[in-house]
Amino acid sequence: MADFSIVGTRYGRVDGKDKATGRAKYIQDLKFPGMLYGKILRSPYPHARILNIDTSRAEKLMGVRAVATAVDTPNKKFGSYRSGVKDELIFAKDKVLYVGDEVAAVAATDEETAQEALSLIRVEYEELPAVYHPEEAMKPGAPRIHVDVENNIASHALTLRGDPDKGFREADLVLEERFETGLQIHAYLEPVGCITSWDSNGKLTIYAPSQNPSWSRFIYSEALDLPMGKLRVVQTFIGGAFGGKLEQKQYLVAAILARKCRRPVKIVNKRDEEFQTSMPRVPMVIYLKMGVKKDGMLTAKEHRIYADNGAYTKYASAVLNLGTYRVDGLYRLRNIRNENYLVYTNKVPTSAFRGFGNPQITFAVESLLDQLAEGIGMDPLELRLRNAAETGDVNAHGFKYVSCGLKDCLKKTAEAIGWKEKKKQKNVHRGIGISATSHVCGNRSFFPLFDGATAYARVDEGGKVKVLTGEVEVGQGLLTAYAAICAEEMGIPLSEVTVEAPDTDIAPFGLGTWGDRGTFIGGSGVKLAAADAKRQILEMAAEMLEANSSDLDCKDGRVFVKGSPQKGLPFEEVASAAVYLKGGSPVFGKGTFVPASELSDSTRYGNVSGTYAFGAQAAEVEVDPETGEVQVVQIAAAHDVGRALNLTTTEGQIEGATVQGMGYALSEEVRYENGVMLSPNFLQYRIPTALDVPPMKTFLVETVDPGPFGAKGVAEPAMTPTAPAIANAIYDAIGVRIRTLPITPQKILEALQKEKKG
Amino acid sequence: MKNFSYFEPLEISKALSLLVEHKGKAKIMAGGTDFVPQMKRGLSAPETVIQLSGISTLREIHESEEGLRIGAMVTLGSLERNSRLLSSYPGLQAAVGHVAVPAIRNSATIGGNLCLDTKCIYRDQMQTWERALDPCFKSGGQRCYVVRGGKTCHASLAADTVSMLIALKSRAKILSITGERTVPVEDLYTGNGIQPLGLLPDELLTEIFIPRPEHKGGAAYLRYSLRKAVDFPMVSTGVSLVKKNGICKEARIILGAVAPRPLRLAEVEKSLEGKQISESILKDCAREAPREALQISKSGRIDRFTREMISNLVFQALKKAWQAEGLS
Amino acid sequence: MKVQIQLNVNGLAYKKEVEPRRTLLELIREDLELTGTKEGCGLGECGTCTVLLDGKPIKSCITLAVQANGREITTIEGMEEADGTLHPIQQAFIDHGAIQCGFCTPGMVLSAKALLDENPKPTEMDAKQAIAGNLCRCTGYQKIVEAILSAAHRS
Repeated sequence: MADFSIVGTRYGRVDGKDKATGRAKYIQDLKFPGMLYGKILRSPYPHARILNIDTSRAEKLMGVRAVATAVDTPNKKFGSYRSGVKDELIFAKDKVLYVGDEVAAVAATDEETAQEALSLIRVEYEELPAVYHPEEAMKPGAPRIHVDVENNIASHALTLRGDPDKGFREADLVLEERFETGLQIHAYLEPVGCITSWDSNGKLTIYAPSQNPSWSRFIYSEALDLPMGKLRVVQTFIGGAFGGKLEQKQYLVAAILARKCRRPVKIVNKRDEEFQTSMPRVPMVIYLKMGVKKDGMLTAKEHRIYADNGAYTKYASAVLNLGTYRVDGLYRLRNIRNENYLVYTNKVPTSAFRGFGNPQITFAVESLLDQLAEGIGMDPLELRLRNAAETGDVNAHGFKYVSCGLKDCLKKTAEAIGWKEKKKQKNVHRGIGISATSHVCGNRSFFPLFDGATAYARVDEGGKVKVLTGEVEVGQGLLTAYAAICAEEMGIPLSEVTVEAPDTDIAPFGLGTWGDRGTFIGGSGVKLAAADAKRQILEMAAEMLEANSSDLDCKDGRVFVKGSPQKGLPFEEVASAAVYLKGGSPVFGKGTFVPASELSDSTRYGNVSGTYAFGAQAAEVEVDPETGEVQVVQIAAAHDVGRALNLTTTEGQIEGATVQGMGYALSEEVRYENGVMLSPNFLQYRIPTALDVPPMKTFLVETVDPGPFGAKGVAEPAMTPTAPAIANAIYDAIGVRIRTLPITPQKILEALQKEKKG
Repeated sequence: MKNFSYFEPLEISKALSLLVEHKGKAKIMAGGTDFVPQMKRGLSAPETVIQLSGISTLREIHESEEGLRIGAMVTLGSLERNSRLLSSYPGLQAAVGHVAVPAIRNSATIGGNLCLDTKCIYRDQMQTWERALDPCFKSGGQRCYVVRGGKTCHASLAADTVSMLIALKSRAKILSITGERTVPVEDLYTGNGIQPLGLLPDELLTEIFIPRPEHKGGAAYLRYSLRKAVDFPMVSTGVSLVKKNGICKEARIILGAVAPRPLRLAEVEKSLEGKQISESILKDCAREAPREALQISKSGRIDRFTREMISNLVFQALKKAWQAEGLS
Repeated sequence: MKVQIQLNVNGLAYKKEVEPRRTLLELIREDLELTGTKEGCGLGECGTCTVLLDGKPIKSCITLAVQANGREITTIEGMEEADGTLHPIQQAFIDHGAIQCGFCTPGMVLSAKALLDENPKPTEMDAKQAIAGNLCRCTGYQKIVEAILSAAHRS
């Protein structure tokens, strides 16, 4: 076992006190003098031509300071970074494409006036036929959503590895099924909001709970026709994100309003707006075909996915063409054909959500795997273990698994759920199911110029260290992890380190929090910065102690001579000397980490991440055959985290993700009527309550990766295996397999009744 | 929310005269846990609000040999916590305790729950921005989304305490400036999804009376919802049984949430009365429940799945009531 | 037409003039500038607006300010001691990893306080029931329940 002072223990969160006392200020809590309140007028129709917008009455309302529409914007089409598609405008100009599309906005002295002003804006629409399902939208004759996009196909990609046709021929059993997953709303408790303000030199500052402050500026720059240097994003406390707080149209609308009236403008989404416009998980129809030999070796896999883009292209394209590939390496598949269609519909634009395509495809693959196992008479766990990836593998897409604890995860979780015993002794209406997952820790594909992170570690004259990072705390414990990495590396107490939330004027350019990269990549940057600061401290101490800096070390806040430890100095003393004797300049450590990842080629082949995380989950369920009700009895989750920097926060990530997975599997469903989302609220969108969660056992498998102190990521993969494990457990319990999410009692009952009949 | 005039009378008589004075334009407010959200959604915009929390007599509880009188403004939370009081009225604590979540129950009142408007996913939307959904019957339009092509409103009377109070033979005291009337709770409901409550605009529900259940009786409340908290029930049932020597002397079986009014399954009750109770008898009777429910309500909410739920819940509730200790 | 109300918030007395339609949440956040209590949904469905009214948790976003007339309100800011010492529940939340993004935390802590004040030895089920109306999307609730049970032990 490694000898760490801080890493690997259960130190408290550095932001815990602020959050526990209500001191932490989220965007809704902030107020600036002279600030106005903005509200957005949204399209009531799923698809319509805008014939005319009359804002004159709204402009005359007392208290209104600005009304904005498309004419107030550069009207430059923009799109999510690297999606290759630019199909968005700040305000809809010719057509509205979904219920919620931004048409106009108002800034006024108070919210109520702004709301009233919205009702005074007259928009004349000509309704157009709309389409809501990707398979429908692709049909000839379907309404065309974007004028230049035929058959509403936003993208089409085909990836071929090996020889899948040969693989299918060689199989003893080939199965083909259709799966469908639906919208999942992030449902973070803090609604999206911002305060935007222009200074007298035309520089825009956006205060917002942004997951990617540095990088989101590319999109804002393009949309506003503003150079990057005139854009500043200050990240505020984030009340949950899960991929939903990347670039926001709302910030652009606020910026336009703020520019028009030359006052700061604050906009905070109401909750129904949140549900209707928050860029949910990409729904997918997945046609999956896999082949297996009698001995359990998988021979080939083919998928054809129709993914629901919604009305505009956000990250659905990356979710589809990158996120759905991660499962392919889990079971050493070499013969693969992946065909992906991304299709526009007149619904909310879909985008990134924890797992990024992985939960969708893994649900399909892991379900079919159980069917294959049954088909060849093999235990589902055994089938997985026979094919499972191992350390050193390079998968069919070129991912290099430098550390892989997959088999351990499968074994641990199976043991925890009582796999052997429960498979032998079948309990009526009770079942167990298992699933695995693999995920990237960062993704080179997003930013061609570099993948990695830079951090600064600034030591002041009091010996306090401030870490500056471009990566973002969304609640996962990133600030705490970075503080721990820095403190551990420098040999000082955790209490001496603070980590600043990024202000893009000061912080290093950061790619942000997504793709499970925060610990592995961002943390590695912090470690290097801390090491650099430590080097400078030791150099100063070497002068003071008349020793060689290579003979010195620092531990528990004291710099000492390695050979004769009684000779030493307190860290603060060295730090203050360093500052005062060097003209007031703080000790400034800088570190840049670039993972061993590469850009994928045109066939999407390439080691896109420096390392990969693995995990497995098993679920035990009890199903009532009379009503179809599912009771999750327990869940066991084992995740290969490299090394857990903080046991508590790591477990917390897994537990939280698992509950999201459970909601995805059983209760979270969005219903639409004529393009209108029904009940966009917490009453009808059913995220689990405290009474709904089962007992959970968490296991941390530590494969000690090349990452900082051995750590890799866990936040994203922890959501992926839950739904398939539950689906497999339901089949084990009552012999019906539901291939669409969520698995509701209605669906189970219908399936049971169908079985009874025929 | 739109502005409104606000009155907090200290006496019932004042509240009643305000109702008359502001004829049709005033709404009664109790805990506000549905009242305020409906206003925030834009579904309700009264000119005048008459808050009842100032009338202390409405918060009184009187126990006697005859039964329990509960003032309409008694909160669900205080009832829930009063195990001693409710121990003689089985099922009621469960019904009360299943409403929403604890924080709601601390404000919500028993009167408010009885007078709760019917609910429907197509209706209970934010009205603050226009949406391209033609209004349904309850919203002043010409259609129902629950039953496509339907001619009536199929909103759900989902309040938890209703079916249980009816099972316990409760009566409601209603006051107006012209007088008072007491009706069985089941007569409060019109069956009209748009106007589910049979109270006149100048009437106020002031008190519930629950007769003390007979000896050798048991009662139970069960409900089905996807989550274990927050949700309204999709199906709920309140049942009470009086048994003697293993024979069912009297049965009351009421369904909630599946129609715009609570459904008293009189035929199922009759089929149970006089029979030697056994699990299989209860199951057989419960199996008939969905058919009767559909027959007497023609409710579009009673689809295949709901029928299974009804059958299952009624069985489970009857079984629970049958196995209850009863009172001695 | 404004209404005069008097209320006690975290031990301090206030006199305010409010429109009847003003919610208690608006009063707390805007008039008293106590921003620890949050607006997560505005309809009383998420629990982030939870405050204690005479010691019992209520949803302040659907409570009119006038309903709090003459009552005692406790918000998250009123949990710590005068000298800044954290309440054992707050400390337990930090120690047990019951806080991630922190947005649900104030509501959770207050619901927990109401529980422990009434029931000093709650079971796991008691704790879950007490926070049933406080939604959390980050933690999965397990560590929140552990923190509550641990705080019960300490007091």
